[in-house]
Amino acid sequence: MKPGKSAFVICCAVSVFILSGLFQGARFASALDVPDDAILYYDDSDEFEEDLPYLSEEDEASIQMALPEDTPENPLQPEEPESPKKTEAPKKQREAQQYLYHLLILDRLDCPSADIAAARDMTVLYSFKHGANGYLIAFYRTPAAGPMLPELPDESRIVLSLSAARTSILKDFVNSNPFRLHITHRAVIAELLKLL
Amino acid sequence: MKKRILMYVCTFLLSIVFFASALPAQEGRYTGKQIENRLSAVRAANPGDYILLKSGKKYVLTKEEIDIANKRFDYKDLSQVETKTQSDGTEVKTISEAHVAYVYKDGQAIHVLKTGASFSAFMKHIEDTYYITRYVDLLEEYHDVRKISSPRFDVFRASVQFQKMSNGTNEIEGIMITAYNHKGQNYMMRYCSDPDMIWGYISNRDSYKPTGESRQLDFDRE
Repeated sequence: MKPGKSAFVICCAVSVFILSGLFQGARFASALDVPDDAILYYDDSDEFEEDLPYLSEEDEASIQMALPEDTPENPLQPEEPESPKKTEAPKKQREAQQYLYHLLILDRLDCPSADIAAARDMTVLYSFKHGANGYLIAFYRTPAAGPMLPELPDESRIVLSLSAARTSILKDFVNSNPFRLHITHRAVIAELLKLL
Repeated sequence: MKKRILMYVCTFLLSIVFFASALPAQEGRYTGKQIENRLSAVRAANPGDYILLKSGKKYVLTKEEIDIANKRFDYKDLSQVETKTQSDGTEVKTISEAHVAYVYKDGQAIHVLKTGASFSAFMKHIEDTYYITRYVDLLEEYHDVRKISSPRFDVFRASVQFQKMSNGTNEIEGIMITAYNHKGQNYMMRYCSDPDMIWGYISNRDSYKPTGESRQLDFDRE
């Protein structure tokens, strides 16, 4: 090998060696750069713990599982006032679904014109008039919020007004002696029982 | 001669490129290396080092977690812990991937823990700092407290709630610990900053009530 050629090879080798050293040093420095105060030491007192796995298989599962409880609710968080629409809508819906059923016996002796047919917010399910001025027997439904009774003329007299959330209660009454004392008309009883 | 100089320069430049590519991706920042899933390895780790979970996910160690493993972390001082502040003012302090503290504006705090190691270490701090309380039932019978076995408890989730409490004149700190293990068993313990305290069915008179918004903890003198 010529002297010039061998000098070139040596120069290259030296350069590579120096550069290698420089970059390795840079890597080492970057590794030490982060934890200035992380002085590592081992606690000899609990040597038996050294072989323990740090994370068990169950730990691995629980770490990777995200649960709603992982973000606890702030006890100071002011509760958002529910918008009136949100609260009122279901309330109205509930009220609309809740009905009261009424059984009414009206004495029309002094007020033959008394009737419940035109009553507002009421659904008349059955009504029967005994003669021109006899009893009015009515079975009707109203919203739970009312009104409970129809607007009746002053002269009319209520003999019986019974309200219940369940029709079975009214049915029991229709089948009972007190009701039969007032109402003996078989067709009326049969119709009412059919509806109840 | 010129040819040799040119070759030398080329070799030199190639060497720079080769060794530079071997540097960490983010220059000047330690990206962390994989460590063994052992307590000893965690103690010797640097922040950013990670344990590779079986799913392939990296469990990255924080400086605080390494300090906890080395028993040199001060739980009373969370000022250096990575903190994010939520819109309602709640500070979310990530002590580790398995231990997150929610610190509320009125001083209350809830710590959520997910591993046996994080729970055991935090429980050691609680036991060293606070007094365990006894439970009184409806018949005014006192019950021994149930202690969660130390140093390791198979924890699936644990919640540690800190509350300031007052009887109108004195203020104390109450701690409620609820832990679930992987079998679905539930353990609850209560600690207090004052000794000889009881909780459960106690008279409302002169008892300690939470000063924050929550109304879950009541304490009284034994």
